[in-house]
Amino acid sequence: MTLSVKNVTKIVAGQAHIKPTTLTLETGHFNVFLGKTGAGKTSLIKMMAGLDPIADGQIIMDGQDVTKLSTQKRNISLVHQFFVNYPHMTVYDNIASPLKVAGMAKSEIQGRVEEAADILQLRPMLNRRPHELSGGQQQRTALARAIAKESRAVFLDEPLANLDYKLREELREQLPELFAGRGAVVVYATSEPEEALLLGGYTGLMDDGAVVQFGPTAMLYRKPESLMAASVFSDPPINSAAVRKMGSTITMGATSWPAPDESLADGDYVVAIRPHHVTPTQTATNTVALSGEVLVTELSGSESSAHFRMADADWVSLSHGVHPYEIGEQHPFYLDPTACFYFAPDGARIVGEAV
Amino acid sequence: MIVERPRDLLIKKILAHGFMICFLALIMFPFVMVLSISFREGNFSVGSIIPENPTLEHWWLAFGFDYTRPDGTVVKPPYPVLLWMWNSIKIGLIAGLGVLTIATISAYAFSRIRIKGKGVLLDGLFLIQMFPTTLALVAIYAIFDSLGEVTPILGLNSHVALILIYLAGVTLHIWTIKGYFDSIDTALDKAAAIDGATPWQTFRYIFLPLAVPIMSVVFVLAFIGFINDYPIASVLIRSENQMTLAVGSRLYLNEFKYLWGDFAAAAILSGLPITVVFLIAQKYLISGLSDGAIKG
Repeated sequence: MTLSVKNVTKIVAGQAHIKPTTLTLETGHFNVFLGKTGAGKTSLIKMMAGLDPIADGQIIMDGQDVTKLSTQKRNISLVHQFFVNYPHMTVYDNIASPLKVAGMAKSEIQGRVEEAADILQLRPMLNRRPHELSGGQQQRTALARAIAKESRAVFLDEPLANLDYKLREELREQLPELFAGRGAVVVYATSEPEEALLLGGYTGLMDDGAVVQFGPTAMLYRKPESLMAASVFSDPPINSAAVRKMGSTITMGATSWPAPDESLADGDYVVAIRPHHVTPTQTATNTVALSGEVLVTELSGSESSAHFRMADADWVSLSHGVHPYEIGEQHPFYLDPTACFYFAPDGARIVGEAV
Repeated sequence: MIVERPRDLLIKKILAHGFMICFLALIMFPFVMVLSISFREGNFSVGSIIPENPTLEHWWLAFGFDYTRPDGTVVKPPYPVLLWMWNSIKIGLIAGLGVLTIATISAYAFSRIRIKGKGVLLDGLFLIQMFPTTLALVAIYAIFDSLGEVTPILGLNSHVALILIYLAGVTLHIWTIKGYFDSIDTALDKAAAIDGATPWQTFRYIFLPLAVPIMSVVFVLAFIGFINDYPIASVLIRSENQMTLAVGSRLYLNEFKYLWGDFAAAAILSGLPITVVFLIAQKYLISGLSDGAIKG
């Protein structure tokens, strides 16, 4: 089973809401759309689901052009951020509804519903109505409906966004298992880079209505193709600064370090470096000394981060353990020159690979 | 901070209850008067509230039995009240269900299906409805008089014709139910579409069950309207046996004699079907079923 989109576009009020996008999504792993709110994740999903009109382009499922096919006939499932259940039906009937509509035999429906209910631990709630359930249980009901229906494609649009922390962690772990081996193309939209990394599979980075990079999630993290892609996949945000390469040296303000690759032409670049490659202490790899005024610090127990100001730019450092910072002090930081990405001033990637 | 002193609370209670009791008395008074007239000897509209010589004469007659007065004279029931009541119930139920069916389906279409010129159509229907039906009486009479020449089923004196006219009063109810359908989140439509449900299945399994409370309101309102209708029924129905209770009751008050007592008994009887329908419908008036459809 594959799901392809070819040059699909969506135009709202004369403006391209989704720029021409071409992608092929496959079964067997999660396909994550990662991007900020408003990047077009939901729009793209709705277009693939047939809920939103497409200005141009094609949507192909298993070689069949479904662009003109109504949502009803596409055989898909969709779970929203805002969970939708039928208020007047019990949990059982909610899960069973797509199967009933498809005219499946009663005994088979019961088997499927109970299987899905067992996976999502909904067995004791089957006779309740949605308003008698907690938010997590309601969302699990919506997920159970998607699982019970053996659809060709399952769209999960930030399904965990409205759940509490603990449940989110739990369901996130279960999700890949739930859909493994079901043969459906699973599309998952999220705004959290961490979630994309945890779910694995393939990730499409979205920004401003376009998929800027698509590939295996780890590859996206290691080889961002643009400054944009590098920043999407970084939390806290990636550091960037203008640098100049001359001969075998990279110069950034008063600091300099050896250039990674002699083949890099001399000239101006933008360097990007993830916060955990900028540390408050010198290590074997973090050797290039910087200095900045500490503005804000955050401790999360196992990690401490510091926002500091250097040469009129804000930087972030992330290090293991608890590091004592004083707000306002001038503090040394050390940068790993081998972990730098170099981008052309317009943001396109040149060299460098994160470790 | 609000402090409730027991004395103040008592005064408030007395005032509130006093007001309610006065209000209730005001509403109940006409009914009590009619009840009193129905048990009063003879056919008088004025007299004491508690009848001096209570009699069941009017009730016996209303139920279609002969009544033997103490002095031995036998009184025959002047009109077939129970038959009229049956006519009323029959017409009210059929027309009410018909209106409910048409209104619900149309409301769904107006609320959810894209139709060209929908707004104009809705407003147009609403405007037409604003003219009182009494204005159209002449036209209604003429139309069904002519139709009767084609087939008596659609002519004057026919219940079918009367039901047809009542069905035409569906517009207001379409608006009511449409208002409710509009308030149902379109996320449910989309969920149903994703489940693979056809528009009909979406209507049948999602919207219809959700609309039961509003539908029962519409049914009760329509039913009451049809049972109480006088102008249309009085123009269309001419023969005594085809009359509804509302029209028939008028016969008690003819120019030569005013049978107030018999009229009162019949009037109370006419309230019976409405009460029963209301009590049954009340069961379905549970609101808040749409709570918890979408949460986030």
